[in-house]
Amino acid sequence: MIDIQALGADPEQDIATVQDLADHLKAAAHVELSTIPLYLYATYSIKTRGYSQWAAGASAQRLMTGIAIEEMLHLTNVRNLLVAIGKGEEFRCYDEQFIPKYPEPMAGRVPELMLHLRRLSTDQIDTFRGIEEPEGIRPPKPEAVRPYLSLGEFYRRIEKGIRFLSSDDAKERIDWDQARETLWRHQYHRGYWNQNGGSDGPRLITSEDTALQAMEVIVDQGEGAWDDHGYLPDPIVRDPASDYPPPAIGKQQASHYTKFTDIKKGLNGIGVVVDDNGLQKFTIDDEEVIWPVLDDPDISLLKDTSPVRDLMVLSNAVYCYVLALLDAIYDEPMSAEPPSDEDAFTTDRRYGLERAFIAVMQGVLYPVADLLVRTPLTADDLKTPPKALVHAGPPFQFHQFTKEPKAELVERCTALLAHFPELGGDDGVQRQIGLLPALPGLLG
Amino acid sequence: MRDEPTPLPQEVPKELHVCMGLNSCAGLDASGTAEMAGTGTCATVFHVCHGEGSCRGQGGCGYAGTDYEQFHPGEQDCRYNGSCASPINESRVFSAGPLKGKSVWKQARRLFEARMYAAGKAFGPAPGQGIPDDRMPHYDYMQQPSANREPARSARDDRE
Repeated sequence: MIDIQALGADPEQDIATVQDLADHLKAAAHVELSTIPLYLYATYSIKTRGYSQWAAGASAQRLMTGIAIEEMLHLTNVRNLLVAIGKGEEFRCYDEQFIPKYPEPMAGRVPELMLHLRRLSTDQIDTFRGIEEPEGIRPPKPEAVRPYLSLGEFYRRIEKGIRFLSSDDAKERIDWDQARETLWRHQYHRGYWNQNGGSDGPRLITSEDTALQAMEVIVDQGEGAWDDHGYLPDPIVRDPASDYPPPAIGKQQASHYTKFTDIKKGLNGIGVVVDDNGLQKFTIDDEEVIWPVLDDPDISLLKDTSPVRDLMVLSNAVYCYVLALLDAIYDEPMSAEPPSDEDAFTTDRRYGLERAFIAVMQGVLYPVADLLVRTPLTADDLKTPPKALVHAGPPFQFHQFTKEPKAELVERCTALLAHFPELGGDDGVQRQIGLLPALPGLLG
Repeated sequence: MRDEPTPLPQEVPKELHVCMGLNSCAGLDASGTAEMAGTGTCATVFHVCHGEGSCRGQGGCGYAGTDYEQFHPGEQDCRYNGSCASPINESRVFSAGPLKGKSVWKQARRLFEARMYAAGKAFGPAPGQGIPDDRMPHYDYMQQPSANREPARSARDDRE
């Protein structure tokens, strides 16, 4: 049990107010979001589409996809907690100040770790391992109080703050009753699948316990708990009402740090194609299996006349639509009225937004990114002619919409059809964009 | 004899299929009013996730599942073998497999039409390409969290 008295007397107590906790959570959300484009970019750079167990790269690709989805889970848990403590309206994903700009240092981390959008490689995997590094690998620096040495240390500070602000010692306590009675409806809970990751899903945060569990999932999935050697029970948080699997014989999941280490070692690497000596023919550093995509792609690197530039702008617009749609989901409360008719369905706007959120990531964001990484850049595209073969990539930059976002996506996609006809057809990106909900309130 | 409530039409299906436009004969759709095969307006089976189908052909596909599973919406060989929720919503696309990023309903309809051609049976046009995204099946309805419910236990507690 936690000794609340000791916490209150702790001179290193960092988080003493609900606003301070909210500020920490906003910083945490930025850190979580900054990892998602990084991991997706490296995943997109793997050439295989993974249709076969023999496909070179399928193993690493699935592992990376699962990790990226778990980072989305972590961002969700952090934002759910922001909502639960009554600070949800202070936060927006579609915000130029919030969206990471690559290259940039990982926020608040010491020593500095630069984040670059780069193809999958041993160097990039080392960066990923640095992001997910467990506590205790590097010696602590006593002078570093507000910055953090590992994400685990940062979240432990947040957990400590949650405990303190739930205790009687806090001058301003978190209003968990309000979270349970009303604010839970604004949290994200449904619509999460991760066949390549752990079993934990977004936590509905309505109490101190559920808040701590949500933070625990983030830390344990990312770098692993400090005493588990990189392998964790799966799921991390169990429901006593359906205690499956049993704790003693439950299945396990590896932490992100362990998964990245396995990719680096080739254990979950680029494939099982071996040469006559039994060694893998390809590694994550070979261009035969990895697209030679730009480092830190930026639309300013391309000529205004290049259609690839327009495709990269579309990619940015889709990415920002995803973030704006997430904001719209959090704005729209979930229904809590029981079904009242004999129809098997209830019409529910929030539910429609959630379905669209999943569909736009899989049916628009991915196909546009996939098209970019397969597109070589020439002297007609780049302001500085390339010295070696280089492909385009999704820049994941802020995009300022100039009209209602769905209408702008339709317009940009239609304009690109002459250059990239695969965006059209009766089952392409253009059709999927047509099914998206409009977001009329975005431009104020 | 007890006075049992009248079951909803979808609780006594005459055929199991995962969305609109997939009924194999007249009158075998959710409402029992389809005039011919392929014109039904909705699914006759409802389940929320991967592997939850209790009979063959019940996988909606698209959110999860292996490459092979996801390629066969509405066409799994046996129960628990299907991938993902039923019915299929109109914007749902495959998350893996050869059709990653493409419409799940369109593939389900393609497979349905192939079955009908093989059987030499006529079929009509589908009324749509999946249920609208904002039509929420009741299995996804949310309830107010209870203050009295025992909080979930964490695995970290087991280790400590």
